[in-house]
Amino acid sequence: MTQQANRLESGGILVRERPVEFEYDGIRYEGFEGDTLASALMANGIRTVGRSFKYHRARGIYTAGSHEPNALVELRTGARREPNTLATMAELHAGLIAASQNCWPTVRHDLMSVNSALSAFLVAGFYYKTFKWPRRFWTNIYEPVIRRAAGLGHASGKADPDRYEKSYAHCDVLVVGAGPAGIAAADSAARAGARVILCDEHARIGGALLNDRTEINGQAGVEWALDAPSRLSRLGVKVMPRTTVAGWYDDNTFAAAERVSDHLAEPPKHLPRQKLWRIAARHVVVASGAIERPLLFSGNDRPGVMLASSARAYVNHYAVRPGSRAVVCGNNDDLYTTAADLRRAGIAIAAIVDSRSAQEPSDVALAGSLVSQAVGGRSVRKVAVTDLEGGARRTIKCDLVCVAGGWMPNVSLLSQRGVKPAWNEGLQSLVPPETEAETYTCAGACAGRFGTQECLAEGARAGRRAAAAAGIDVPPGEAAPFAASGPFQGKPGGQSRVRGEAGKTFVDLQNDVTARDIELAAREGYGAVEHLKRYTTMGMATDQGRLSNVNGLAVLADVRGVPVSEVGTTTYRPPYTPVTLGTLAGHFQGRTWRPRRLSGFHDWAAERGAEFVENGLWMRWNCFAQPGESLAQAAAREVKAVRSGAGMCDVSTLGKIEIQGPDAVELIDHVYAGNLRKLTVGRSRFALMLREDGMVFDDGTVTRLARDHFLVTTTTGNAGRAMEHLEYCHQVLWPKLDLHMVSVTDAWSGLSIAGPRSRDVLETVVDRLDLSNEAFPFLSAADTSVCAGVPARLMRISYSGELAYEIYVPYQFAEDFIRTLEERGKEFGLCPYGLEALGIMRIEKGHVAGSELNGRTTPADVGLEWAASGTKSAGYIGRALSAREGLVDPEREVLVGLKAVKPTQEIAAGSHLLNKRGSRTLADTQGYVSAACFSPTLEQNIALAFLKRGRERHGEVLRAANPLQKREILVEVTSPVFYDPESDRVRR
Amino acid sequence: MCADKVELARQPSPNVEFVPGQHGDPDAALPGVLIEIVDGLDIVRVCPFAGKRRAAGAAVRKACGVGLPPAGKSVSKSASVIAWVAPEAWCILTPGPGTGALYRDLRKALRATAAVTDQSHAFCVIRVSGLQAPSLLMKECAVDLDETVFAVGTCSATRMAHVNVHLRRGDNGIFELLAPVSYAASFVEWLSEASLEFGYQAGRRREPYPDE
Repeated sequence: MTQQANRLESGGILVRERPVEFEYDGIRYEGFEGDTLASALMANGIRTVGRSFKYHRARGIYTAGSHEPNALVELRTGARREPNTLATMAELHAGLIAASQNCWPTVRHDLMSVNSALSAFLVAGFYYKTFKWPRRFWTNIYEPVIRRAAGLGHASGKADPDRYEKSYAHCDVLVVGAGPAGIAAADSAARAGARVILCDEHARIGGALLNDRTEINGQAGVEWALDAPSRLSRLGVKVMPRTTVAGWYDDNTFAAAERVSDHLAEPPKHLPRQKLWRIAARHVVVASGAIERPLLFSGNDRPGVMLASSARAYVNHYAVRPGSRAVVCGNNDDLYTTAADLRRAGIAIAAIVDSRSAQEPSDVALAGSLVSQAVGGRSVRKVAVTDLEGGARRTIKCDLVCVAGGWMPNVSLLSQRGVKPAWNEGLQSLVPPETEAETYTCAGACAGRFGTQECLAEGARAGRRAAAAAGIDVPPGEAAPFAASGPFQGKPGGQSRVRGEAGKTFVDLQNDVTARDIELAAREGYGAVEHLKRYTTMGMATDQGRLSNVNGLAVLADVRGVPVSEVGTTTYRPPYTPVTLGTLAGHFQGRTWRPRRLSGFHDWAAERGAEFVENGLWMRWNCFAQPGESLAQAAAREVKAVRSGAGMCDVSTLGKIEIQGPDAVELIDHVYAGNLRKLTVGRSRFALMLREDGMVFDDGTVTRLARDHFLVTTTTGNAGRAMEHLEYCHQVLWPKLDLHMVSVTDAWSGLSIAGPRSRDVLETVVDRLDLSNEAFPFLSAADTSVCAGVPARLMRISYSGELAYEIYVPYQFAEDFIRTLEERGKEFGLCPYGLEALGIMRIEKGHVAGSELNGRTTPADVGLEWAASGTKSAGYIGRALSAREGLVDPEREVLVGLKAVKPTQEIAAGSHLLNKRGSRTLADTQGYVSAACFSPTLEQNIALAFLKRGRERHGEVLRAANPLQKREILVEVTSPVFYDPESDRVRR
Repeated sequence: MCADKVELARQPSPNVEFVPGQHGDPDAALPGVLIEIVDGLDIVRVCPFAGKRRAAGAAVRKACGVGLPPAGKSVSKSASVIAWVAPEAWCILTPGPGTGALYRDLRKALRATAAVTDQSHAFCVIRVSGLQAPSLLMKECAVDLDETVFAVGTCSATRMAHVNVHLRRGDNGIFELLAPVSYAASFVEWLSEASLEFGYQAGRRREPYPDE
């Protein structure tokens, strides 16, 4: 364990009695609770924390916030490893493990830094210029090499073990950013009676008040800020630290990512790691502050060069010395505040380099000068300072260079909503327009007001304005005044850059874009700001150019010889900072990705050892395999049981819709192709719904329960769509029809009871209903009851080709019902069967399912022309277009059956049908196999298929070719109905 | 037909299991959230036909003691609740054995004035209460549940955790959710996980039928 050599004896917002051990690149260090990883590394004397993206140059900590370009690390290990985490934002916790990234073998000795020597070739647009040919090199060589060289961190490749959540929130006023302006705004909006949410990305609210020595109403600014959460909570403000407002969307909806447990080694079991908030706000106060502008000089990326405001943050907030001998350079009064704060921390001030000539020079203050070059490798060792008038150059030794180039309002969020900031010559920055917007108010440094006093006053005013704009009746008067002092004498002056030095001057540190790249891009015709961005990748890193944008625009303006105001600016997009995919997914990932629907028979089936299969959201029975049985064996056994005795299958999943009303029959007549007007009460009928284009949309049954009361069923997969379709037809096409429809899918659980003994089985449970063939023939239906008074719906319908019924009981009686049925059905051989057996039986019977009703088939194609009435007087959906030439073409592929010529040869579904002789290419395909199985009843392989002119070709032998499996077998064309073609069995 | 003669047992939301005791936040002295699945309700959906709203309202009033509330609202009388669930649609909830008695009564009373559908078994009825109940529900509910906006008696048809639900604010800080019963297991799984943060207790409750 090493000592915290750079830690100040006192000060900072740290819990010194709680030292925290952590590990960085395999070495153990100590910090304090309250540190960030960056401040703890700094306290332990670590200067090089990363390697740059392209040139692999050593980089140090540059900021103390989320715009950090250099200190990106891999945090945690194993499945929790998270690459590209900002050390400046990562809160130190016991057991934290971090590793540097984008370097090999170590961050101190990175072999990829050879790239620096090749830098002449790695200029702007180098991908476009270099890796053009040969074409095959793209995927095999260029891309893998570039990815390895230029990548940042590595994902763990393992499933994330943590939970994530989402939440909605509503408020009158959302305040983004909890610096002095944000706190004041939240306070005054809440006092005006508004519901307020205050978000800040940092662990503590306070913004610059935590980092600077300020005074508010006679109290230290830092104390005032630390006290703010409890003060605001008492006013009812929802204070949300560690919450980044990442996106601003339509209707003032915001996405905010809360890092609930990122500051802990592992989230406690009851908490998620992160939470995505969807906040609907009537009005938003954007108080996102400002970012200090870096200075451009050769070597301005060397470890030890950092923003002056960040140096103050490390000294004041974290009680860390970022160096021992500092040069402070810039163009505004913050220089002197910085120098004073550093001095107080025991850091020697080698020079204060002020670009303004009017400043009084002193022993260390150099007026009218700028740093023109920083020299050093893994740490800055000295700087060259150039006199702006005479050009005289002097060298000053130092290990810390603090740059203060003025302030850039943080306009990211506003830009997301299309608010265009305008160039402000006085502030030398892009500032949002001063408009009275209905949905937002800009306050504090973000609005270009940099003094603490101004931020507080403007913030308080913004809060009251926001409350009023949100519709609150704000009592007259003014917000309580503040008396505050602090730094941010932000007006910059003088020149900001010395040109002509050798070496690289970085504009975008994270993407390694230099001033020369910008100049080159402009020369090569990419001088428009949006072109420049794509060509050089400036502003495309994780900070989206918050740090580099203004400097880039200034360089571009300079090259083009126009004022910066004419250059324009690029647009920021959500998210403000990266949001993890886990946060976006929330609870809904893996098995919980979508809900599962369980029928009322589920527990019983699970107990009986059912193998389930997903069908849409439903878990359905696939088969009930006995020990040692394969799926095929189990299905064959189940088929035989049904065909010889009785079986039961869960059909709860079919869509069930009740349509009631005097005009119910009208709607049904319009949406179904069959003539259902004449359907009598107590009868069911098979019916088809067509799409407008004449293709089959869905099939099911229509049952008339009473004169104005129908029950229609749909397929499981189409249940939702069919309901939507019916609602659409009613609400849009025929709104005057007086009827109501409601889904009763969940209300009723259904079993298909099939087989020659199914009547006997049902007679043991049904109350007082004559089930004889005469009293209750095929396609009868009744509202009845079972087991002494449990309501039930019974329909005599068959899909299996046997005598069969569908019986529906209320969901909450389903489980006891099936147990009763199982018990009483024993003597008739009642056996549960699953989808696999059902699939075999329907192929044997030639009944169509989803693979035949695939959206490309007409009723005639599937042999159901009888279900589309040509005679009914009223039109129905799909009728007109059914008459199209192509849909009645005799060449169409129509449903046929296939038998394998060698009965044991398997027919693969999806196989193409080719003529036995002649062309063997798929271009001459005659059709395709839609469903195939081994029929235990026929003891041979059979299939359903679509075949050109199929009806005329029964008896013909074809080849079924499956190029994927490289298999080809001979099949004989037959009728699609293999089993009981006269349908005697269903009518017995 | 009387309930006690029925040979089958009613098992509301059979796929939902609760472990007794308090779960989640180990530091919570009291659970922030109480989750209760309410068994033993009869639910009937009533949709008046064109121009029959007034007649249907009168018939419902005669049968249940209260009429149809306006859109977005619910009314309750003793153990019964009438809640708006969709345009021109209301649900009547009252303790019952689930064998269709309320349905048959209302069907008779509303013949030719309204579509009447038995939905007694269509929903898992979940009551959520406790100090953190609004915070819990807001995790998936896009509707603003602040008391000033979503006052007692307000109800909404909305979507939570990918499931269409009916949500109602009852008395005593109780939120009542009607989730489609086939989704209940998944829905309660989400609800339980989302409650961990606040600490929760969960269980079942059966409303006694009036004639018991």
